[in-house]
Amino acid sequence: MDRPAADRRGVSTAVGYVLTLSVATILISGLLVGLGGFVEDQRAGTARDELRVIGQQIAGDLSSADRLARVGSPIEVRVRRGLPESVTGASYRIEVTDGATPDDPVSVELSTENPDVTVSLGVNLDTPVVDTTLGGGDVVVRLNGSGELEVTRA
Amino acid sequence: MAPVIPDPDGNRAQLVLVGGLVIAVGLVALAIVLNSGIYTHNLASRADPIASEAVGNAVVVDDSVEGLVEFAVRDDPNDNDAQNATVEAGVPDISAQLSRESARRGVLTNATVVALFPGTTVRQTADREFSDGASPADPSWEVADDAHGIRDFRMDVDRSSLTDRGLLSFPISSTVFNVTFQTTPDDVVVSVYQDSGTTAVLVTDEATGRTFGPCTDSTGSRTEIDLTGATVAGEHCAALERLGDLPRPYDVEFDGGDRAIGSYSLVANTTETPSGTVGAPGDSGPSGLETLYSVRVDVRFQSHRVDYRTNVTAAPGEPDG
Repeated sequence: MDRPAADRRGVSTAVGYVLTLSVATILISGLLVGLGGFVEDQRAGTARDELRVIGQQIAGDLSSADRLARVGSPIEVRVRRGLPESVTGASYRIEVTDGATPDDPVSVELSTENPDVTVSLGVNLDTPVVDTTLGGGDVVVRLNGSGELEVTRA
Repeated sequence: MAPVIPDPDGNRAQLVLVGGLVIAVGLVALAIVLNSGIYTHNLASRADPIASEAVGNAVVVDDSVEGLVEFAVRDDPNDNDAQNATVEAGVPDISAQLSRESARRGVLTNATVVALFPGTTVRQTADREFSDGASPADPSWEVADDAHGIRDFRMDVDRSSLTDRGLLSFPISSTVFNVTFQTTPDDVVVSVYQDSGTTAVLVTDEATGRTFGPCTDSTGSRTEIDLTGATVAGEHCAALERLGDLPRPYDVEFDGGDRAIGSYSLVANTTETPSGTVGAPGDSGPSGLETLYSVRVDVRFQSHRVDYRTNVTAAPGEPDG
């Protein structure tokens, strides 16, 4: 004997809802997880690019200050650079280290913790450099009283 | 057909809506992150010639003041006070001209005289031996005493007057005309002689015994040697570049001046009179003249990114000057 049509429709609708919601939940969760990972990857990649650009700008300023320090008898050398406080929303650290010997390049290392990115560059200078670590933001490369180049906060 | 049963709470699309919003926010965040990277690259690729401008400004001041020194010396030979006055009056004009030009680019520049260094020109305009002006002439004599530099040191020698190398014994410097730079610990000797019909210039570092050169010239019958400009007959002579690195002060001596005939001129950064006999200004034989040797200038450069101040020494015709 056939069951009433209304009962079949009711069962079908409930199952349909459950299936729709389940599939939608899985789909959206997948999208969220996938998009989140993609955004994070892009953020890390962009942070790396930005740190590299900032590092090149600092290296360029060190090179400029080195050149200025070798003309005549320099009394004052100050090269200012406006830099972002953070890259892709994360604060970063700048570390400048002189080479072990005068022939070794000066190392400029920039790093962020989240995302965990470190970028390192080398620049050959004739003027000695003071080892410095400072946070991101505007910097000044200056010639100190000892005839060394120093990177400080502006 | 099954009837559509409306949701009693009307919340059927909530999950899809929230998901859509989250995706939209994620895409906006991605766009911002990527744009910030593009913007940083854009900033980095912009030309930034400020440091070059600062160096260029110092070099222009140096060149201009060198020209002024040459003009002052030419205009008032043997009058140090007049030369100083010309330079002190001319440097503010140079500074004003450069400031006007740089102000258009938002850059402030200034140049002021810090110090003037008197020197002595020793020269011989007539063709004669490189001996001093005494009677009888001394072929070995000190041209400059305790000099803190030499500039514009040029000589024009008659090749036929030079000792021929074919007859020489070793070392060459003991039997030819030499210009000796007496430094500590050892001398540097520039020997000028004839070798198979050519003029040869040989530099000997007495400390190591090493010789550099010779630089030769076979054109014409005379050879112009620019010791501070490191050229022989207008051609570059690398051996003479060593004279730019000599420890200062030093004495300059002519040895074997009777083994060369020609004229010469040099400006020494000293007011000490040469040990040999020199005539009055205007004499065609060796003579000494008061000459401004160099000027130290304070150069300032200020732009939105660079503060730069340095002292440059304008000494026209000085090695590496």
